[in-house]
Amino acid sequence: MTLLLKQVFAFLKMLNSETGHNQIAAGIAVGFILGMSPMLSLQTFLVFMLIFFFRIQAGAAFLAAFFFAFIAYLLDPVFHSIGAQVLQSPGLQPFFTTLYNMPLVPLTRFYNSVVMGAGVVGIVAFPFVFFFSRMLILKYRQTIVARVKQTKFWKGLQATSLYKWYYTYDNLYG
Amino acid sequence: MTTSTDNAQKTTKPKKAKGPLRLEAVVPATILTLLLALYFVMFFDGHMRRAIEYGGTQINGAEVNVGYLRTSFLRAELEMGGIQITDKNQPTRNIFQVGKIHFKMLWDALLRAKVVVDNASILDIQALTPRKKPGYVVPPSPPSTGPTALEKAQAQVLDQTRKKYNENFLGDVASVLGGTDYKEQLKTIEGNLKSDARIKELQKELDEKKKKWETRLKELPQGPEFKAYQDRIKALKFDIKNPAELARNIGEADKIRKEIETKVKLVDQTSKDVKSELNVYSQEFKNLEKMVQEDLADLQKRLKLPNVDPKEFSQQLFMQMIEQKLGSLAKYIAVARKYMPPQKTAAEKQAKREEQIIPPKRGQGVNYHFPVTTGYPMFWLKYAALSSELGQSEYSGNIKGEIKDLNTDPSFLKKPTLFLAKGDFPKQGISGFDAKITLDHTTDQARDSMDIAIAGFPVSEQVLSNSPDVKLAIASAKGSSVMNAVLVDEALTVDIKNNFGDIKYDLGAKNKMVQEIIDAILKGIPNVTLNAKVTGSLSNFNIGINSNLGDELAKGFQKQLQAKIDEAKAQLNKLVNERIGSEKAKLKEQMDKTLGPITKGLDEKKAEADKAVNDAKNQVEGQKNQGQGKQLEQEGKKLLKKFGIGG
Repeated sequence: MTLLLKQVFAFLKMLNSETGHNQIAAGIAVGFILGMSPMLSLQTFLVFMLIFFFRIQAGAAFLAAFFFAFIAYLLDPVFHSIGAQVLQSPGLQPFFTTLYNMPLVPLTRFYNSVVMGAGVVGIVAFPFVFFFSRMLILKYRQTIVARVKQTKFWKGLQATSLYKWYYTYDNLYG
Repeated sequence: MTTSTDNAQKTTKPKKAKGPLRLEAVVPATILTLLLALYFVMFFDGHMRRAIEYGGTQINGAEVNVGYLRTSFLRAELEMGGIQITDKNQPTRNIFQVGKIHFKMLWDALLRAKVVVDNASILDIQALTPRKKPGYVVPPSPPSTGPTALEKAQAQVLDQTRKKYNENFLGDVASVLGGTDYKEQLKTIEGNLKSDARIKELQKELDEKKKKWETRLKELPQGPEFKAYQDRIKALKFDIKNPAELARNIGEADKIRKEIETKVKLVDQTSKDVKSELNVYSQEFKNLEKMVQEDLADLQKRLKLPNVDPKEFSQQLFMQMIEQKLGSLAKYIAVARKYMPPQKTAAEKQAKREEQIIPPKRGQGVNYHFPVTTGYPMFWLKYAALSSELGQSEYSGNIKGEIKDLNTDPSFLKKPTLFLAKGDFPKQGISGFDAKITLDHTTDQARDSMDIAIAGFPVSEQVLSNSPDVKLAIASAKGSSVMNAVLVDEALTVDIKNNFGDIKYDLGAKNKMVQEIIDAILKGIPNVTLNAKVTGSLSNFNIGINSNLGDELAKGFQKQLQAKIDEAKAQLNKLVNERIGSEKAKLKEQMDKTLGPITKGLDEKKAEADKAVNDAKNQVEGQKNQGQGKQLEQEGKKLLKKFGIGG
């Protein structure tokens, strides 16, 4: 839980900084796939590996996954219908038969209509989610963060010794 | 104006831009992987060996030891050796010992979470070897709420064999020959005879039914009722000159016809019902005789009167030996059918389909299944070679065999499981062992067959009769055995042929004559044959056992025994006749007195009803003859037709 909270705070800090917009956007996009996928599946494991080995903002990924999981729940009937159409598509039958008989691949439960529907939507929407969230982050920084930094309250806060102490601590250990 | 913070920011070195890879995570991940690899290289084999020893000990109920165990992750291989399985009944020895077992598994299956052993070898098998130190025996578990599935399978067999088996058979023979006074024994037999109780029931039933039959007879129309109908018909006038009256009288005649028909139907129905009940009752009285015979058989059993039938002798002497084999067979079949289930029956398949028709819960989606081209059952031992060669050990033997397609889903794999083994253990006197076991559960109809032959084996003590009066046992012998068993679904056929030679008997009888007879018989038969045939199902089978020992014993005892048994049977007949004879005769007399008049009464009523119909017909005919003109004739014909007597 502490690790999770640490990641969420890191996300908030990075969101309000001037760097890492690509990492946050990637985190949100990956979190979108996580939220769409069933909890215990091979693809979830693969996404976790991506978060672990690539510089993807984990806090953003977890928050996004939490948020998109609710949306995915509401969209299950849509996913079912998309997944069923894909799985029943005559041209894809030999391909699915091959996948069905491969080792490990059946562990993704790709043969389930909801999993397949959510997977298709997740992969297709991934670049859109990435670029859209990147655009929103930059917009947020240009408008909201810049405006807050111009306020007297923020300038007064920066002048306090507590802020200076935190700033130094963050540079050293953050 | 610049603040101190701004200065601090200016003095801080700009952070170096980081690449897309999280390099700081690679180091801990690598360390973790190396630790895991180290564990598998250094400790995994030892832990797995201990896990197998623990699990095996719990399953076997006594210590199981594994000398060494080696695994290869990349080759998916497992090898273990020095396996000792303690005999839980005799912890100082092993039931068997295996020198080396080697398994080569398929990675393709392991990645699908299935275990497929492509090739296995089980080498250096030894039986009944002594242990260096006694093995640990697992304390018996607290009594469970009910018997296990294996216990049930065995109990199913024993329930049936025990009904046909009397451990004290030869003791009973000795007792009869000793001249037991059955009069005294019969006095002590308590409880009523079944036939006695049935006579009382029939008596009561007859009293009740008699009242009921008489009431129904009284409810039938009496003579004056039919006379009244005749009078009413006589009063009718079919005058053509008076059409209104003619029409009214025709209507009246029709009404009378319907009334008579109703009464006739009532008589017919009552006659049919009562006669049917009379027949049932008469049949039950006849069945009484069968019950008397059952009572006699029961008394004969209670008095332990043996049957001088060679088959009976063979059955009683060798049933225990055969039931052990059948009990083991039932257990193996129960295990095979549990872990290698045959294809589902049509009803089960239908239930499964119906289960699938139920719409899934929201969010679960639908699973689409594609043709399985490279699937595996949960466990599949494709081929295992069994091999052992005669060595220095006293318990080693020459054994060659193979196991093919042992798997948990035969209906999917479409391959029956085959066990083949051949060999001998010369140092233990076991020769010509040849076994072929086929378990075919690939279709809806499971078919298991077992053909086992042993050309020679030492026979340890086999008790044939154990009673205070007579003890007869085979102390030692040299045996040969052939067993063929086939079980198709529930239909079982077992054929067992045994031959025992070089027999040493252990005989002890209190009665000198019995001792002499049996001794003489045993000396006359150097070889004992034992053949058994079992047909039916495991829950209900017929068993036929014959042995030359049984034949000879029956023959030997025939003269002396038959006279004694006839005498005892005569006493039993007398007892039963005394007990129920008079009651039965009384019931018979009462039945004749009741049934006769009832039948007579019914026949009389039927005759009266028939007569009433004929009279009515004649009267209408007479009226027709008196009537004038063609029209009346036609009306009369119509009326006769309605009575069903017109032509």
